Amino acid sequence: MMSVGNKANEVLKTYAGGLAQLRINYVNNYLLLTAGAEESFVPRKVHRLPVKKIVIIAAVLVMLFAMFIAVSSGAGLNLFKAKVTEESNHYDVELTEEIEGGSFLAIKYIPKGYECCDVERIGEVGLIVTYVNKDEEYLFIQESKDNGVYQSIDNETTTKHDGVAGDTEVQYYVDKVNNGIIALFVKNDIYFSINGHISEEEMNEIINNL
Amino acid sequence: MFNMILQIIEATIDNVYRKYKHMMTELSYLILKDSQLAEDNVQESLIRINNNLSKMDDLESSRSKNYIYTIVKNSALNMLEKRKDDLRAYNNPDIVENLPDRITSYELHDEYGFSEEVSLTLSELSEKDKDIIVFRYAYGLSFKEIGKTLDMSASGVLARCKRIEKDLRKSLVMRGEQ
Repeated sequence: MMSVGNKANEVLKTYAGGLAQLRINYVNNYLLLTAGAEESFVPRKVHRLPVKKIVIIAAVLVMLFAMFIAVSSGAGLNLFKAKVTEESNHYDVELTEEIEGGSFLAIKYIPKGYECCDVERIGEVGLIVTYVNKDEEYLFIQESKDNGVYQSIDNETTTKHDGVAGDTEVQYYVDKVNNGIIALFVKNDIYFSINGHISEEEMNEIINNL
Repeated sequence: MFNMILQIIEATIDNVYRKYKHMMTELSYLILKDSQLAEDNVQESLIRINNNLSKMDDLESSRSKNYIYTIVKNSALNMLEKRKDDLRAYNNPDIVENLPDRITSYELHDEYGFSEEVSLTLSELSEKDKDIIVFRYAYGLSFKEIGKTLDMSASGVLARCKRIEKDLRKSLVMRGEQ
């Protein structure tokens, strides 16, 4: 007899196939209806800032950045520099610092009851380690050397917090409804994302034991 | 050499526009209900497609058609969200129930033969969940590839996949389909 996991897989494959086919049918219908009515793409003109203004803005930004570095470097913190935009139902978090990419760090502390169930390598630049407990609650720890990291976090049930774990600045999002945390930080020039049903204490322990 | 590469890229995006313009405009209008916004969305979508041309191996393939559909739909939903802060476009029934890939719980139950619990679970999935399922289970894309297409992190996609599987397993167990 087929296991529940396999059955779920079969259901998802069937459903995905149905959705994909409906989308293809929709596209194909329009291709049939509009065959022959083709036009060339003329991109719209984009308004550009004058070069002088760009140079002034860039100079001011560089000065501000230099001042920020000078002030923050004395603290000896692993800073987390990201742009957070709050949309109607999610936060857009975009890492704004360049990551040079050190070696991936070993995860030495895992909250009680969890065990590793999956390790996914994303080429040379990424690693996702997945843990699961007996209640089938998952904990994902992602390490990335990729620049331009972007993360979308639902904000309907989460609240954003800024904190420090040991020598690491951490931005974390607490989901009280689903009892979870998403923590984002940079350590050893690696971008980290922790996502799971853990407490703030457990989050700090994980970060301090990397 | 550089000019040649530039010409090839321009030719490809021009082909996308020539072939799919009407579908892209219609789908945008279906969501945005405004001709000017729909045209703006087609332009936005073409820019995004142009930045990801590597995913368009063959313009005729079903994967490319799904990719274009998803980009246009999500771009329109994002545009709507930004323009009307109070409207949760991704969850607004007036919008998502009119989308062409809508499969009702009734159809899931009667035509696909799924149990009521499974049909309900599937019909309650968000638009983003549906996109993930199509790319993962119909086209076998990796979490990273899906993340890049949908502007999400690979771990975010993985987390959503696991949650969907878990919800579905619960529905199956509830029904005793083991």
